[in-house]
Amino acid sequence: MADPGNDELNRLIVAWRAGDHRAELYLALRDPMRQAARRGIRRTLGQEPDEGDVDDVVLLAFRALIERTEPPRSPVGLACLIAERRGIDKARALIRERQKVVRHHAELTPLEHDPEDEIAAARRDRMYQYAVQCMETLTGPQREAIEATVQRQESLSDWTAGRGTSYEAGRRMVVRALMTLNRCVQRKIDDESKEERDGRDQ
Amino acid sequence: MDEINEDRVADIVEQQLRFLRGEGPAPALDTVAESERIDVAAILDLVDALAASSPPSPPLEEDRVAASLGLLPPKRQQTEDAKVDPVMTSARELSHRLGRMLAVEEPIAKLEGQFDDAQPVAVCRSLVEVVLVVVHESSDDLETTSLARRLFETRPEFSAIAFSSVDATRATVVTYGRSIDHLVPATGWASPGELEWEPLGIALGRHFERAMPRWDEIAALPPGDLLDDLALEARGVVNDELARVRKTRPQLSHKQQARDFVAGTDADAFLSWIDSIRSGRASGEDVVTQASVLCRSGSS
Repeated sequence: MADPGNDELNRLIVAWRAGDHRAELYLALRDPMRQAARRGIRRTLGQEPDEGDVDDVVLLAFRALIERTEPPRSPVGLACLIAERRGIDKARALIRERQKVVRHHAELTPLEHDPEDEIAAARRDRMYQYAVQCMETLTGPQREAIEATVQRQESLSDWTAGRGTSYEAGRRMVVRALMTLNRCVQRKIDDESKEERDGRDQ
Repeated sequence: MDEINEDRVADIVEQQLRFLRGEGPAPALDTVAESERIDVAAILDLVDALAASSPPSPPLEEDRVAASLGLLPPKRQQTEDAKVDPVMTSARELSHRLGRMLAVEEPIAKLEGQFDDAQPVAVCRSLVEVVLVVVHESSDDLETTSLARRLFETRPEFSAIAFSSVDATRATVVTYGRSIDHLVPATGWASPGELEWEPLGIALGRHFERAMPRWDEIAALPPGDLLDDLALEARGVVNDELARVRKTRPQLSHKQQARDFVAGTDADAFLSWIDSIRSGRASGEDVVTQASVLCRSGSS
C-alpha cells in the first residue's frame, strides 16, 4: 500500500465528502485502523479479538473520522486513536455483556484527546511501516518469532512449545530479532530526519 | 546497543508483550540503567508498533467494512455463478468472524441421487461440525426436513445441512435430530418441529457458535468450590437417608438386621464410596464388592 502524506490524506477526506476517491482513503487507512482496533480490544479484553468485532470497530471509527469537520494534524494518527478507543469501548461492552450489565454496554469513551496522542499514534504507524521494511534483515526463524509472538501476539510459551524449542532459546531469539529490527528502524528514522533537515536548508 | 543486558531486556520485552495481551501491568524501566534506557524504550516502542498487526486485512472484495461503506463495485450480472455468490459471501463472512475456527470449502460436486432441487454450494468445517450448505428455494418445513433426511441417508458424513435461498436472506440449519420423527412420551410419535428461517449468516453462525467448545469459560470455572459443594451435598443426602433408615420399623427379623446394620454404619463409609466413584478411583462394581465385604465383616 502506498503511504500518502498528511496533506494527501486530508485531501482524500475532503474528497470523500464529495463522493470521490472513496476506496483510496479507506485503503490508505484500513490496515493501521485494524491494527489499532485489535490492540484496543486485546489489551482490554485480554484475549484474541474476534475479527467480526474488529470490523465493527473499524466501521464505527472510520465513520467518526470522516464526520469530523476539522482537518486533523495527522489523519493516520487520529484514525488509529479513534479505532483504538472504539476498540476499548467494544471490549468493555463485551465484558459488560458477559456480566449482564446490558443497560450500560453502549457507553462511549469521549474522543477529546491531547494532540500529542495523535502525533504519537502517527509515529507508531510510521515505525510499523519501517519495521515491516526491516523484516528482511532478519533470519527466517527470527522473522517467524516476531510474526508469532509480537504481530499475532501468541504467548512465547505456546510458540516455543509448538516449535519444539526451549523457552529460553525462543526468548533469546525474540530479543535478538527485536534488537536487529530496532537498529534498522532507527537508521531509517535518522535518514528521514536528515532528509527533512536537508529539505528545510535548501 | 550491543552492551545491553540481553536477559534484562528479554524480561522487559516479555512483560510488555503480556501487557499488550491484557495479561499484566506495563513494565517499569526503573531497573534499567540510565545508559540503556533510551535503547530499551525504543525496543518497547517497536514492540508496541508491531503488536496486533496480524492477521492481515481481508481482500477488499471480502472486506465487510468496505461493503458497509458502499465501496465495493456493483454486483455482477446474474449469471449462474453469481446466483450463489450471496450464499458463499455469507459463509465466508462467518468464517472471517469466527477466525480460524471455521473453514469454508469450495462448492462440492453435484449430489448423487434425486436432489435436483438442492444445489450444493459449500461445505463449512469446524472442529466438530461438517455442514453442507445447499441452495434450496422452499419455505415448506416438512419438505425441507424430508430433503434433509434423504441427504443424511446418502451423505452421513455431514452433521447438519444448511438450506438457503439464493440471496441468503432466508435459511435454516437442520441437524439429523431435527429431520426425523421424535417420541413425545405423553402423545407418542411427533413429526419434526417447525424450522426457524433467518438470514444464512445468522442461522449458520448460531449453529457453529453452539457447537464450538468454550474453553475459556470452562477454564474460568471454580472447580474447587463446585467439588466442595458436591461433598457437602453428598453428606446431607447420606445423613438424611441414614435418619430415614433409623426411623423404619421392619417386622421381619432379617430386615431388622439389615436396618440395624445400615443404621450402625458410619456415614463416612458411604461418603468415601461416593468420592471414589466421583473421582474415578472405583467403578460401581468395585463399590458393590466393598459393600459386600463390609456386610460380611459386620455379620461375622
